[in-house]
Amino acid sequence: MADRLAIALAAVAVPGAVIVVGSLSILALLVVVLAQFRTRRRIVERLGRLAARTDRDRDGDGHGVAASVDADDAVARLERSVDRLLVRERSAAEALVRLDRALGAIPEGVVVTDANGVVVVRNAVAEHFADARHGDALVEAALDELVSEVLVSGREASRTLDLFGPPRRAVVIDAVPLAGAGRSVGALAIVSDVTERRRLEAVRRDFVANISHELKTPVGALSLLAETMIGEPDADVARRLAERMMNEAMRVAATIEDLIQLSRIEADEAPVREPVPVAEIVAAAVTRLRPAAEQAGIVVDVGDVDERLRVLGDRRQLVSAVSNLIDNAVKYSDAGSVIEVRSGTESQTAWISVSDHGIGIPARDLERVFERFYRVDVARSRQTGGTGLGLAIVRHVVNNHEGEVEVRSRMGEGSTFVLQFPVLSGAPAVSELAPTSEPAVSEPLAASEPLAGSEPGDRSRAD
Amino acid sequence: MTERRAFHQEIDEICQDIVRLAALVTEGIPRGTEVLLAMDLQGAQAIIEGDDELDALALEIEEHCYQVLALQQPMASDLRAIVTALRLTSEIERSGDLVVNICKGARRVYGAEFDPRLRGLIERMSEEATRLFRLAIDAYAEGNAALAAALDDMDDRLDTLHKDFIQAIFESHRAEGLDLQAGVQLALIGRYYERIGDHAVNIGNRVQYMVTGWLPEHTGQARVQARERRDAGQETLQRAGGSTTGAPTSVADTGRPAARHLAPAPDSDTGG
Repeated sequence: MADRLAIALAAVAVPGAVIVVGSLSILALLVVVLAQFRTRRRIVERLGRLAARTDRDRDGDGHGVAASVDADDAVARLERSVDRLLVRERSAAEALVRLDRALGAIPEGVVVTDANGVVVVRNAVAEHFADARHGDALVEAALDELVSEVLVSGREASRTLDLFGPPRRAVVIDAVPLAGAGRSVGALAIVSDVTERRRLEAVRRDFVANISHELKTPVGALSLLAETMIGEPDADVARRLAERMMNEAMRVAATIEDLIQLSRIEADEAPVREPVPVAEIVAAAVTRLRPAAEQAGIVVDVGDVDERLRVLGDRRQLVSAVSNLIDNAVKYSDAGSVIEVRSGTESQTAWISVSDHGIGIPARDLERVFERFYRVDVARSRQTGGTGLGLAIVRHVVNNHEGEVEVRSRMGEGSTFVLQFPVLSGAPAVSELAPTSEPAVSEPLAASEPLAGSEPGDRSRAD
Repeated sequence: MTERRAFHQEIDEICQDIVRLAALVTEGIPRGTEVLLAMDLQGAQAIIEGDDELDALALEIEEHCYQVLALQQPMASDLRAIVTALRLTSEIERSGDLVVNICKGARRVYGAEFDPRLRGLIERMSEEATRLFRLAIDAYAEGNAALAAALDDMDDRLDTLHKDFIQAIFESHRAEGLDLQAGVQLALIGRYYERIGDHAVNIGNRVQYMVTGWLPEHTGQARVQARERRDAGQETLQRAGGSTTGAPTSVADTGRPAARHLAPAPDSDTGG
């Protein structure tokens, strides 16, 4: 009985257990699948939202874009977004480089600071002022000050610095506050070198004042003298008055003559180009000024001139440049002193120098003496009778010949003017200048002729 | 570690301020000369008033130095940097006063005519003084002891110019009847330029001290000892460096900027 019961129980229990275990595992499987499904759905939903968000970022507003429920679609959209972002990032980086280069190309110093005055951006020119010494250290100090001032006040400000160098410079610093969304986000400072601009302003201003003075003074004197002469019964006095009128008339004539010469040289940008021996230029200029020098008791000492040395250009202009220099040297030297005229070559240039031992030029006037009508000492130059145009003529002649003029001077010791022109000398220089010319043309004198025809064009292109 | 970096930032700031202070003087010398040669009374007044700014900055630097000394208790090269900054401040401030003296001298000789030779010599003394002062500050900013040491010899040129200038005053007095009062004032002005050069040399001496650790007052014997001590230390570090003849300048030849020379000990480098 008990046995049968046990068997019956076993018969029921075994399949029951199987069923229980089986249903349990199915349940577990269901739970796992369900959980996985939910996780997956969450991921898909988040992917979809992410994709929708990136789409929204692209479109600006994403009202039309629904969150995706399809995994493939979401991933595809994400892939597209990532690609888009990469492209966008690359172009942003490019834009940044472009802006950086643009800032670097600006000739002014540009500095951008944040709201606390800490420098965020500094272009190449402004970089120069950071950790600078001497004058530039003062620029940086003024810049710091101006930026903090602007950040506090919220109004733009500007400051001018005169730096004595050497070299002398004038620097203007402008600072403006940068505001974004109603609050300060920093400041922008711009450092500009206005030295050249100021110089040109001074040249223009002084020129107008000087030319009217130079022309009006003698004309005024003429009319006064003429007026006096009309009522003058005494023949001797009238004669003296007439002499003075002649002097004044000659002065205006000289000024006008020089002005015309200057305009002619200025207009003649491409003067006649022929090889002119330096020896001839120097000899002609010295001959022209020798009488004046002798009268003033001044010796003109001409050094050895290499006969083969030639420069390419307009003979009249070149002679006028050198004689203007000698003329000045004579005027500003004391009796008994010596004027030295020298010449020579240095690599590819020929130079002619005129040195005197006269009163010299103050350092502050040195760079301005080539301006028209510029006078270092007005009283003195009136007395010497110069027109104030001599050095302006020299500079224009030199410019026309692709040359340079240089002046060294010290007050009380004298001045030296050096003219430099591209060289055209004997055999060695010819072969250097025209290496392709036929070997037959080796005679220096013969070589100079064909060269004269071909050189100007070549040279102007090379320069 | 952060505290240490802030400390060196402070030393850098002091260094930068000294350079700015000195720039006021290097700009002031040619400016004062122009005032003198052009008899520009307005310009003279501007420079004399501008000296207040220089004094204020000098005081600020001095206080900054005291603060660092008291709060950070610097050692070795850091200590030398601070002490040098203190000494330099007074040298530079004094040079600024000399520029003011030149301007006051310009007011005293106002209206006197002096000949081109005197004017030329004034220009040259001014250029020479400016050059020396610039070089002294270059030596400081670069920590260049060789340049600093050379200043003394460079100053000879200014001294010669000063002597020529005095001679030229005598000659001008004899030949062209230069007013005696103006002559004396000019001689004093010449002396001011010459003194500026001396201050530049002093700055050079202090820079040498900052870089090498030798007081300029050290005489031969002390220098030899100091050199031996240092060479002994160096030999243990690097046996390869054989030459001892170039020892005094070898520190300077590295040409490191002062700020970097004062850079923290290796421990803070590893931290950064």
